[in-house]
Amino acid sequence: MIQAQRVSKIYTRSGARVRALADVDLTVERGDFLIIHGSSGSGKTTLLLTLGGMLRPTSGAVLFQGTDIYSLTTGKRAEYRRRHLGFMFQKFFLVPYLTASDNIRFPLVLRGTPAGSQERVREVAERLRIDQRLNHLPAQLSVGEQQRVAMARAIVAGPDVILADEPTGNLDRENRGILAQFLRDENRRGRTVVVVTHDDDLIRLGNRNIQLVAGRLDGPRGDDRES
Amino acid sequence: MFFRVLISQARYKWVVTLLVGLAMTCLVTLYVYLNNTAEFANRSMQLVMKNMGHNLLIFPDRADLQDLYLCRDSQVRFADEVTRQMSDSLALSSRYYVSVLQERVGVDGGKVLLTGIEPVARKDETREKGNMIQPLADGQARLGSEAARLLQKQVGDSVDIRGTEFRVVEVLPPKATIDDCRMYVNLRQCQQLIDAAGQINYILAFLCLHRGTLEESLESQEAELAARFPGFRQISRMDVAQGRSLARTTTQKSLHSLLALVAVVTVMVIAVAGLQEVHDRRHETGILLAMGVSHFYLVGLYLVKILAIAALAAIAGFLLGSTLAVQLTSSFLVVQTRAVEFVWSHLPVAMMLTATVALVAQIVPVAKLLTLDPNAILTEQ
Repeated sequence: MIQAQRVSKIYTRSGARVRALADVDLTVERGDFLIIHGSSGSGKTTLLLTLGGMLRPTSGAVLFQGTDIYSLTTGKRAEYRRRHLGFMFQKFFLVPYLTASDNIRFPLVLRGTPAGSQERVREVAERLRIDQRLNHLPAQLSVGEQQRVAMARAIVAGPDVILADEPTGNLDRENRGILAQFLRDENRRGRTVVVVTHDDDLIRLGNRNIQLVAGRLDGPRGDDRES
Repeated sequence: MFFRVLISQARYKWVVTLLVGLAMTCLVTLYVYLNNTAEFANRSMQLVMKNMGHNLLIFPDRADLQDLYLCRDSQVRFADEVTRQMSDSLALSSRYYVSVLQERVGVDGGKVLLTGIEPVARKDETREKGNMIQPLADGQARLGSEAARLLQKQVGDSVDIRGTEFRVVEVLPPKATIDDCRMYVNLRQCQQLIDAAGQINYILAFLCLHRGTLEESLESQEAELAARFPGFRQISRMDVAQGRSLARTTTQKSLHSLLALVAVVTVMVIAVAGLQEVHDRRHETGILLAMGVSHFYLVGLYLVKILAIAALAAIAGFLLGSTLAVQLTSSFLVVQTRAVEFVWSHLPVAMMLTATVALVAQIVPVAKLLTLDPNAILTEQ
């Protein structure tokens, strides 16, 4: 579904060149629950953003269903993200002036499917147990509720792939469990999930784990499967 | 959803929204107040000039001004038809012409300046305004104060000049000019009395400000007179009006400099607020870009919001500026032609002004927005 072919990424910061990714080859198949882990600065987030069409690699290609996404125009790449991907980040990045309901609904509006969007928002919110908090602003929600809103936003439009960067990083045990179970459920429903995490509970959920060390895949290649 | 986002944004950062709105409202208020005041001050100036009476003296180039001023027998005469031709020439800025014929005549042992007058209005003027010279019918006379004193006449008395009797219909207040010694009569009768049929010595005219400022009107009048009536020239008799006009122009320029300064400050306030907003909303921008929102949509949010604030500020500023003008200007205009009122034509101009200021001020913030790196934002930990 998504293929990274010899992807390298070099940042230039304060005149110094930092290699974040080095010749990474990775294939993500439909229905995968792929865990990317590694120490801080190993290039996990860079790889996630590169797969998500957010960060152009210095060399190599990223293919989605056979199309090199970085050969697309900026607009087409935005459309690729809008139609196929759902993003989650450790910091949630909720729009602070929109209610939880509007935050969740935003991707549906972007896709031009506002009809029935309220029902869809409520359905997802009920699954994440935030249906009583839909009219609240993010600042009025607990951290766990905010992350669940972010999760609802990521999956509400039915993306093919969920890309999550440390989705449970700021959460307590209970909320980590809710999020992990939700991701597991989405994966069982056929959704492809790619997660960058240090969370052992999440790592155990993946059907594939890869580790990055200094920008390189360590151990099994991306096409190996653990189970 | 676009407008819900827009309104929610504005409400969420309501202090910034208010600050930006107030800055633009102040600008528009000042703009509307200045222009409204200028418009009515200009009308006031027109009326002041009209009250000062005819302000141009037009005469042949060949005329000796000493002869004319001293009313000597040798003063030059020309055809009174010229006045009609001038009044028909709408290219001239002057209007309310008066043909004047003058000669010293002896009356009851004394001497007065017998002055024949005939007001000639332009085609596009419907009635005499201000302190213009009014026509006299056959047999009527208007006496200057000194002439009345000399002849010991008052309104209702008769004066005999060379066998023709005139009834005094008005005695003018003293002005400390030679006009105090005049006895005004109808031009035709005057021409008959001094045997100068169809002749006059000079033309009085009133220069109007319809061509712009006093200086612009004078310049236009001189150019048109030279082009259309070669052989004639004019002297302006409005040094007081010119002084007043100069003072007003200076004040206007100072106030418009202030307006420009306020405009610059407003642009800076909006630009700084915009930059701060782009910075504050960088996380939101990052996630929206990740979700597939286009830069066009994001820029649209900023621009539509600022234009909406600009429109509201234009309306508020127009109402405030106009109200201030109505309340304040009326109190210091020396002469009012009519009550100071809302000038609705200022509203679309105010809209354009705020829209321009808002868009100019958004150039830097929008450029900043377009160069934001969403990856750097989303990987901030």
